[in-house]
Amino acid sequence: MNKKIKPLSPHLSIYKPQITSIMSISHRLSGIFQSFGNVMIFMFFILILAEEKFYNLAMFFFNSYLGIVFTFLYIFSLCYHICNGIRHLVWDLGYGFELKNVYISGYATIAIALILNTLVWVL
Amino acid sequence: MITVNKQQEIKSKKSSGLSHWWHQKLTAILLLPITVWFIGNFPSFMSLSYQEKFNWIYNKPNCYLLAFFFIVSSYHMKLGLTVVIEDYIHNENLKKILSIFISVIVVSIISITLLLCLGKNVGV
Repeated sequence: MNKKIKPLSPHLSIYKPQITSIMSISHRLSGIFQSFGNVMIFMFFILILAEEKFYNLAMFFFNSYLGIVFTFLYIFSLCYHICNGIRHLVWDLGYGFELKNVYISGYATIAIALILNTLVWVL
Repeated sequence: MITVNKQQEIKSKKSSGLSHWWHQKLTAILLLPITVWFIGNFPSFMSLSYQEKFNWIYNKPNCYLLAFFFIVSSYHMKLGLTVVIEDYIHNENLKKILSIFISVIVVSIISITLLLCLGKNVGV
């Protein structure tokens, strides 16, 4: 089969950025980031179970600026992914497809994600 | 011209697409409460000392919840990354290498988690 005549899906780059498209790509980006994050956190847990000197090395990372930024982004991307994930699940049930509702749920998702993220760090 | 082989390939891809979708939704729903629990506990967990962290992981509800979180999230991650690779990577060889790489990581995480859980129960 000739690949060149296959229809291409619309590319993100030709659209004007809108909250809907930005949120869609953010869902993916946060998912990719969490994949790295989850593997790292998993290894961290294994290191804790393994030995204290390995753990100390890992804590050296988590206490560094890079580690703090990583931890913060990891939690924030989880909050966002959860909220937008619920939005996707509601769509899968067949609700909220009207353009107005898509925007309302979009802004609500961002707001709730931010609130959730703040709560996690404050409490 | 679509050969029988190609038809079968399309058929099998269709069914795996559907099950992929269902697995993704199911794991997403399973992950909702457990992830809220996880991120709720994570910052306070990070402020514990080494011994406290060790005990926290080994404590009864926590170890099972963590195991559940890592197993289900790894599978969810595999499903998600598979779609991302299919959408953005157009080199067939790279596609294969990446999906094998992801599978190895996911299988490792799941088996290590299961082994640790089983080992703990056998040991105790």
